[in-house]
Amino acid sequence: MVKVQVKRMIKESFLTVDAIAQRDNVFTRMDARLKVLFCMSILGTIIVLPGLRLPVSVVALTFTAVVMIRTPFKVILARLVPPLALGLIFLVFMLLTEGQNRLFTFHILDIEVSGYREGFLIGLTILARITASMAIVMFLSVTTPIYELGRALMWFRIPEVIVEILLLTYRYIFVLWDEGMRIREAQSLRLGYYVGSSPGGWKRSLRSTFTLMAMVVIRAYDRADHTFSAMSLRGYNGKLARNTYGAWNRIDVKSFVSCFVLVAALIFASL
Amino acid sequence: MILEAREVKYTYSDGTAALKEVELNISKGQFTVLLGPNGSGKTTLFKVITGLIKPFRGEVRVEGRPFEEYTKEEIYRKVGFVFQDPNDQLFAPTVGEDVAFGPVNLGLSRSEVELRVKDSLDKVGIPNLANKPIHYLSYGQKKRAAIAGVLAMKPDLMILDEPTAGLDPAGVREIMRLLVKLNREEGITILMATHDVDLVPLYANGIFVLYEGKVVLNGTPQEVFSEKEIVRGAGLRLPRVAHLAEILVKKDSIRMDRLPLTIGEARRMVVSALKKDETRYEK
Repeated sequence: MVKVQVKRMIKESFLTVDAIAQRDNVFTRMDARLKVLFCMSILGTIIVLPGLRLPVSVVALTFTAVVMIRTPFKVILARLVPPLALGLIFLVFMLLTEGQNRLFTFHILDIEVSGYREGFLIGLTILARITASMAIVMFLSVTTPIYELGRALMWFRIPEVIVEILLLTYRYIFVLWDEGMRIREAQSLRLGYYVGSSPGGWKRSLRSTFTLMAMVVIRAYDRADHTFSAMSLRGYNGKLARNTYGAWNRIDVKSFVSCFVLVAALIFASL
Repeated sequence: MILEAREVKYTYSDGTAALKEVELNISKGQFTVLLGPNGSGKTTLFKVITGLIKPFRGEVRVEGRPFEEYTKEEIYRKVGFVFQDPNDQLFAPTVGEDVAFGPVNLGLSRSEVELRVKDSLDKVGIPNLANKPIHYLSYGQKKRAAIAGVLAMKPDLMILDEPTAGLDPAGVREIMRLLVKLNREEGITILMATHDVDLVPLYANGIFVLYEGKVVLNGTPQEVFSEKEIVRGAGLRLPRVAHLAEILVKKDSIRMDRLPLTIGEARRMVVSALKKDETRYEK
C-alpha cells in the first residue's frame, strides 16, 4: 500500500513540477540562461570539490529557495526519494565493504558484519553529492518551464535536434499521458486489472499493461504522422525551435553578478 | 474560382476507394460547407486539396493554376488547413511559439513575425494566452490557437476539418462566429467539413454533399435541402426546423412557399400561416 502511494506521489510530482514552474515568483522571473549557468556551475563544483560542506550548503540553500516559492512538501519528497534510496544503498554498501577502522560489529546467523569509518565517510560523501545534485536539478525544474529551458539550451549551442526532441517530448508527454490514462480506465472498467484472490489475476493485469503500452506506441505513431502533416502545411523546413533571446538586460547582469558571488562564496566556504 | 477539383480519385492501400471522381468548385470569398456522414471521404478530400496526399487521378487547381505549378511556400501562403484534433496541430510548447512557426518558416523578419502572432491571437480572441503552454488550454482555446496558427500564414482560403467537433454549444457558437467574422471582415474564403446539418443554413453560402466518395449534391442551402430524398439517402437529415416544417405541411396542412431552414424563417412561416387562418375564420 505504502509502495503504491509512493509510486503515485512520484508520478504526480512530475506533472505538478511543471505547474509550479509556471507560477510568477522571483526565481521564475529570472533569465533561464542564468539559472542554467548557475546550476551547471554548482553541479560541476559539487562533483569536483571534496568534503561535505559544499553539498550540505547547497542542499540547505536550494531547500530554502524551493520552500520559499511554496513548493509542496510532497513534491520535494517525491523528487528526492528515488535518488536518496540509491544513495542510502551506496552508503550501506561502502560502510560494510570499505576501510579498516571498525565503527561497529554484529553477527547475523554466525556471520560477522562490520562497519568501517572510511567506508562511512565515502558513502556519506556520495549520498551528500547525490542529494545536492538532485536538489539543484529540482530547483531548476520548479523555477524554469521546459520551453524556457529549451531556449536557454539553444543559446548555449546545445544541438538543435536535442532541444527539439526535448520540446516535442514536453508537448506530447501530457497528451500521451492522458491517452494512456483513458485506456487504463477503460481497461479497469472491464476488469482488465483484476485485484483479488484469483490466481490468474496478475496475468490479466500484465496482459492489460502490455496492451496499454502497445496502444500508446501506436497512438504516438499516428499522432506523429498527423503532426508532421500539420508542420508541413506551415512550411516546415527542418527547424522547429528558434533562439528568441536578445541582449542581456540590466537586471540580468545584476543577477549574474549575484550568482557569481554566491557560487564563489560557496566554494570558498567549502575549502 | 479559388479552388477547383476535377475528377479527383483516391484509393487507400487496403483497397478502400475514398474518393470517386469528386468535382468541387469554390468561389473566392464564399463560406462553403462540405457535408457528409462519417467515412464519406471529407478528410481524404481535404488532404488531397491541401497537397498532403496525391490523387490517383484528377486535378486540383488553385486560382486557376494546377497545384503542381506552385512551390510549397506559395501554396501554403494561399491555403491553410485546420485539423480536426487541435492536439495534432499544436506542437510547439507555447501558444505564441506555435503561432509563430509558420511565419518563421516563411522567412519573415522577427518584428513581422511578432506582429503576425499578436494580430492572429487578437483575431481569434486569445491575446492573453501567448505565453501559455498548450497543455493548460481548454479544448475550445486549443481550437482557437490552431486557427490562429493558420491565420498567421495569411491564407486566402482556410480549410477546416470539423472545427466544431467536441465543443459544447457555446463553444460551437463562438467558433462559428469567429469563422464568419474571418470570412466577412478579412475576406478569407472558408471551406469547412461538418455533419452538423443544423449549423449549415445559419452560416453557409454554398454546400457540397459528399457521400461514399462522391459529391451527390451541391448548391445553396435552400437548393440542397430541397432534395430531401438525396440528403437522407446520403446518411444525413434535414435541419430540425425544416423537418418540423415538413411535418406541419404533411400532417397539419400548413401551406408554405419554401422549406424554412432557420428558426427565423420558420417563425415567419408559422406567423403568416396563423394570420391567414385568422382571416379565413373572420370571414
